[in-house]
Amino acid sequence: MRVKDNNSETDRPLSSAALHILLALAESDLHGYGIMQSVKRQSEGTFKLGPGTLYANLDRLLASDLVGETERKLKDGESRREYSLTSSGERVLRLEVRRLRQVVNVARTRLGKLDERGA
Amino acid sequence: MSIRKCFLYAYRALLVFYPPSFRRRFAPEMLELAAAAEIDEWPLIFGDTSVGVVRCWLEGTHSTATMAEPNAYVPIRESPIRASVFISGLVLSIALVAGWSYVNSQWPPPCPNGVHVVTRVVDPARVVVANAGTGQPVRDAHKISQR
Repeated sequence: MRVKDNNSETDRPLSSAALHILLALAESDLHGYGIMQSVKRQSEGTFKLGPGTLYANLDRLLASDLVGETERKLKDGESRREYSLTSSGERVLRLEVRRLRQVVNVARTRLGKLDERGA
Repeated sequence: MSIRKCFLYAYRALLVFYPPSFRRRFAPEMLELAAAAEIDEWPLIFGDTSVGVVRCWLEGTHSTATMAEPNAYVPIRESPIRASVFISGLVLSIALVAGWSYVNSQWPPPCPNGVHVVTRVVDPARVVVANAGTGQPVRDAHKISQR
């Protein structure tokens, strides 16, 4: 993953896994399996996140302070760790989406020209 | 033992290969995740975790790698390690090193019945020079050395 470790604004793209995790956490705070399911849903099954990739990315996102964690008490007395998007995580996510939008705009323009040539 | 239990047992064994700091931090959660997963997700869980183990060793961990154990720098008198355990470990280490040194000093063992095997080492550079003198190809170098 290509995130700066000093919490400053990132100037590099996020990996697909990190982007999907941040997107999942933008909806609600989730535990590990919840993130996995959410990523599967939001990508309509095209991106499957396994636990190895998930926790390796969470490890880095936690260290970069893009994701936070909280202990939540369950009804049966047990506790569960949930992950949430931090303010710097939200900022990085917005920057990444802006960058992707630019890529999509350029792609639309160029593919449109290709279509015109083909027609 | 059910298939699910076998799977979880194997998965727990796989998690042992993670670096200790990562394992302490995430292994219980990963095990919970595996327990909650459907059967059709098991290949993904196993495959991804196997790759993740290797990647984790290569790239290192971030969250807890720099955290020291609570008693990491405590003098031995104040640590939970008992002096008797430490001394027996020290004695065992010395015995192992001494044994290894002895075996090394005696190796190779002498040949029985006075039979001696002589190995002649031929300098490859000299073989090439001799070969150049006779004009024979390199594959016949052993014949030159025999002469």
